[in-house]
Amino acid sequence: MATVSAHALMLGYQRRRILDQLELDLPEGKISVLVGSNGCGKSTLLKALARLLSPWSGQVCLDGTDIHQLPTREVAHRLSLLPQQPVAPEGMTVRQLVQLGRHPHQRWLSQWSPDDEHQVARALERTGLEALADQVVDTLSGGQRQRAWIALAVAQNTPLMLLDEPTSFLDMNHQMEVLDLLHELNREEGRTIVMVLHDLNLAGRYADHMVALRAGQVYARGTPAQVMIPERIEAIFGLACRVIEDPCSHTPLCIPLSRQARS
Amino acid sequence: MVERTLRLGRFSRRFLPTAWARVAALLLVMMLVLLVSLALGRVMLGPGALLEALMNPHAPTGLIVRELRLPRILLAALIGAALGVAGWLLQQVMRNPLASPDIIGVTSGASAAAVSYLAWLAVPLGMAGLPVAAMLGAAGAALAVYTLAWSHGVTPLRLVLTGIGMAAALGAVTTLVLAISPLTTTLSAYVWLTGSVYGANWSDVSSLALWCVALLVPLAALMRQVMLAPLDDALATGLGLAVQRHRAALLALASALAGVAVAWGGAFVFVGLVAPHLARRLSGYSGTAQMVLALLYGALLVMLADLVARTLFLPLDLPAGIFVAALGAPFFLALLIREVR
Repeated sequence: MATVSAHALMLGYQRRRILDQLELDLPEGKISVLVGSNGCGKSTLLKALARLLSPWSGQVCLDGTDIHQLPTREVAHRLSLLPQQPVAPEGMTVRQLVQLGRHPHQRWLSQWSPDDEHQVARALERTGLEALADQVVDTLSGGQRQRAWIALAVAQNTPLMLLDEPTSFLDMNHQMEVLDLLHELNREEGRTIVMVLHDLNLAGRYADHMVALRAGQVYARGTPAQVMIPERIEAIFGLACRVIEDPCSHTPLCIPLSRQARS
Repeated sequence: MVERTLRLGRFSRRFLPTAWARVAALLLVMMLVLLVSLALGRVMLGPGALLEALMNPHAPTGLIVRELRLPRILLAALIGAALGVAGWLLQQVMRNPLASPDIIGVTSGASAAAVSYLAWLAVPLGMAGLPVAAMLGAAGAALAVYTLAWSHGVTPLRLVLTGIGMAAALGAVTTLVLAISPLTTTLSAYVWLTGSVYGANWSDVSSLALWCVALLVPLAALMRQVMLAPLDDALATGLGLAVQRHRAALLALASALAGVAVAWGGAFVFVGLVAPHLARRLSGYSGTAQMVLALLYGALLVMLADLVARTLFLPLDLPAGIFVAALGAPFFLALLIREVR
């Protein structure tokens, strides 16, 4: 098990401050989803949690230790990362991509141990990609490609997985396919999943724990039912809405109101 | 293309048998080219005469074969090998199929320094200093490109653009020096800028071979990291790679390989661009085998170019650099066309 947290985190680009004295604790073994409107800092926060950005002040802790004090390879044993819109090198097959996930576990001497082989086979099976393993990544559909990237993280075999908008630019059916897969990885293998989603209703449906950001700080957190109440959604997104119960998943469902409907 | 696994105790590797078969085939072709090159020249030798020249220390043709042709052929092979690997490494690290030592300023730095040396220092200091000047020029240009591209780390795109800018600026310096220096300098500078292995001796071969080994050993140790270089920085970091540190190390190795190659052979262009492409197009995505193929294609290209250069217009002995593009470009284009169909 592994857990990330942030303490008094200040971070930005050039002189522009994005995260401001942010405090964050995430539950282990759950699916946590970061939500908020564009520019609220949710992707920046995820990058900071993945040690891609160094804080101006404050710190990000992995299992209680400052993540920037840990060797990057050591971090890669505990935490895997799927950035937004990753690009596979030209001509690379699914299998070759997934094999890269074993990098942190390999040494110069041992570059393809039986365990490496086993973990890659398992990752391909887990993500249902065995039949596509020798296809070139660029030729896959959006949903298949995203599953291949998730398989890379599965092969890396870390207790904690961070994903930045894993469903953006996917059709609805592929969005569900990806989120169902992540849900299985969480429920069946106990992996802690932290992701950014911009679709609030999908977030509400799959999150155990929801963190809403506003102006670089945590505005609300808790179960989707605790966070997704109309007043809070209005404060987070600046959007009037009604919230009803999803008849299938019994999670909150936000119905945005148009300007006409409001008057 | 099926991968196999090799395991011996704790040692384990994946490898692509087809790619290594191609390596073996290329080595055979190189041996053949070596023998043909030894036999051809102003003095043509048949198979029997060649064998005698190689085996009998007192053969009258022994001097031509062992002291003139053999070191020249080996130097051509080493120069091509170093440029092929340097280009391959740069294309991996820059994530750009157009990257090569010529484009990112290394060759231009060496050229500007070498031409300046020929213009002003060759007379007082002698020709022995020329490789040193070229190496310093290459190192200086590489360092300048890296420093100018730096802003919280370097990104491949900034490096490529800075390199192109640097190459243009140094090209202007080279032209200026050529324009203001005397005609005799211009002629020797012109040969240097084309790339030539004329007059190579055994001490050149052993020096360059030593450099190549010294640079290829650390590269072999870093192959795993090289294979992550084409991924974007976030992914590579996620997989536990110290991206900036490794990028700096790999760029230094690539620049040094290209730098020593041009120091001994002059500004051979195109080898560093085309050899890695041949390796990639003909071997698919694979690690070490692809690097070895880039090395061999580079070596073979310069060997063939020099063979043509010194035999096609006998008794003229032309700079090999002329024929690198003449041989490499049509093959390269044919490969691209075949791929489309």
